[in-house]
Amino acid sequence: MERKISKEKYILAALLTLLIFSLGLTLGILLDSVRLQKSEKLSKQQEIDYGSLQLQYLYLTTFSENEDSCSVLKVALDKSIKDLSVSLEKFDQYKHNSNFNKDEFNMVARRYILDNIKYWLFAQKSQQKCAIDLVTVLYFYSENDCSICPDQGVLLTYYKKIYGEKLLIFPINADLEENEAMITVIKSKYNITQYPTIIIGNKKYEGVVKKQQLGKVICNNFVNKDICYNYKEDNEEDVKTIINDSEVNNS
Amino acid sequence: MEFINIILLVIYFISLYFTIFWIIVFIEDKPPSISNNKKNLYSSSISIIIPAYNEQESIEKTLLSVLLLDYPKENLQIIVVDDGSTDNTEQKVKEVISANSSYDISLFQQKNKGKGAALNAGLSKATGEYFACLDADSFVHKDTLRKMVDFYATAEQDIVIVTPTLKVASPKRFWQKIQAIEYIISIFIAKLMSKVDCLYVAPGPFSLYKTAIIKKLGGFDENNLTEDQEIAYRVQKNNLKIKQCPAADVYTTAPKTFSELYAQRNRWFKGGLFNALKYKNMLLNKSYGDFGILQMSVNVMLFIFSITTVSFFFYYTITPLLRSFYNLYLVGFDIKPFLRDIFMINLDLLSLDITTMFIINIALLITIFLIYLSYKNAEQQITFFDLLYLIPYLFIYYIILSFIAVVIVIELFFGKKQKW
Repeated sequence: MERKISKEKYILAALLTLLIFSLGLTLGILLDSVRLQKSEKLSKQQEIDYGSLQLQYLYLTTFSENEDSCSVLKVALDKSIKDLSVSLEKFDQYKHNSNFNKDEFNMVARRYILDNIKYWLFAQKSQQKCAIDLVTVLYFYSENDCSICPDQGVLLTYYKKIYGEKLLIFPINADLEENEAMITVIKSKYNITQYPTIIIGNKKYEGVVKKQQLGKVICNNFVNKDICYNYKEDNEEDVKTIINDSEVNNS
Repeated sequence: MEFINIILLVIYFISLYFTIFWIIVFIEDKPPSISNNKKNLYSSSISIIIPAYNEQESIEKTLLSVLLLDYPKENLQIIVVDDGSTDNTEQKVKEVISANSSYDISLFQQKNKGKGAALNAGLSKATGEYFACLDADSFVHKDTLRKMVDFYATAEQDIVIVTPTLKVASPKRFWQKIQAIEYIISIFIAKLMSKVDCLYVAPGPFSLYKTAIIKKLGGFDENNLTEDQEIAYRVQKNNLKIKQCPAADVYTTAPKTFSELYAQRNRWFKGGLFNALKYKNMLLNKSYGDFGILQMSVNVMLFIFSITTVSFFFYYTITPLLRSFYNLYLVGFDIKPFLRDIFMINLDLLSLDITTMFIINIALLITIFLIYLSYKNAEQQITFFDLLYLIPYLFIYYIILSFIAVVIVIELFFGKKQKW
């Protein structure tokens, strides 16, 4: 028997497969640019929100000491930071599923880091000015060479879910340090050498801070201890030990 | 793009390519029309070899299905080879012989030597122009032999094996229902493979062989786990033809439990691997046509795909599950805070990987179309329950089969090391 090779069928199948693949890839590229546009739009919105906040603060410090403006500022701050964390979460998803435009996404990522640092500074400033009872956490992590970072992320998310707008977490992806000098500036201020590292109320905690300890540290930084979650049974002594712990940690 | 994504895209590409290829084969080539005008007196003599090892439960039913064949009984030679059974198989066969003295039924007994040897023992006694083998756990439809003899009479000359359409006999248990779907799809795929001369298995139950040629080729390989596959490879190697006879139904008892299924597939995979290695020279060899270029590559790729399927299964399901559990452990299994916004699921279409989803969905649509064609081809109605069983068939069954393949590769790998 003379054996046949169905060359035309091989080629036709290859062409059709390629067609379907290029359709899929085109859709992917299209969607990617839509994602990028949306991320950029959200980031621009952040910029405007921040400008508004700054102006409110300036107004506050220039003209009045009255409580009412403080509460307005607090509401505005809450809202902006909430928007920031939502759009950051979205951006992380987009970045994860994006196969193209890596450079553009890195640029947007930088913008988010700057936003985070700005808001962190602003939150601390307005905290003093308006006596807002909130806790700020600056969270340094790395996606590339830190296998335990997700553990800290999970625990921070856990407390964020509990405290909501009273706990402000500002994640800083240290992998972008070579692109963004501001990361280096903050890193050297707190002498950050390893990941994960969190800064809570000007104190540094290196490595993964476990659930119990993290809960106590956060609770400790609230002025009004009534809002603490699951620590009502704790006595004064416990809190004191934690304070000592954290100071040791800081040194 | 991550490395793993590229591998996945390559796998999608290859899978999609072959699916499309079979669709093209389906569309392009019209099956050769068999002229029914030709008067066939069924004068060809047929030998039917039934190897049996401890088959007291089913041997009677198998023999009766042969006796009921719509074929002149003077042209039928039935050979039962008792491969050293230790139960009542011999007794049961003798009962059938004495009750049907008008038929030419003979019983041969030998020490237990395995199926290949039993088939060869039967083959040496076979006098028919054609012969078929029938496992004791299989039953043949009464029209099947006639259809196959007709097929030989009307199709090309150099065919030496005609394969049946193998179906699962009255599937009842879960695993049998799944295999029933698998067999119906296999019939259709085999039909397409038959068109481009790519059949590499002549199913043990009731493939009809040309006696003289198989004898000339040396009979069955006695040291082979899947001798029905080995003979098909050998026939292909000798550039002879294997064709599927449409609607030649043979029913086989499929494994009932998972451990039975595992044992069967273990044998199939090991046999498949050994035979692929034995005939590796045919791989990508142009002188064997589509069989060498296409089928041999598919056979090799199936093993590679099994391994990658298992790896990806772990990567995409087991790892995240373990991670979620570990996350729960981190927060001391306090899920209350997470429950608060569990109903706030907002699906963001932008966060989906549209490229992969597009390709997977196209592949899934084509697969569903192939399944529909398979049921149509096998003249089987798709019932509501079939549709239910399609879900585990499509999404779980192949992962399980891949696991079995990986276990076998590991077994063989360590088995070899022990020898040293």
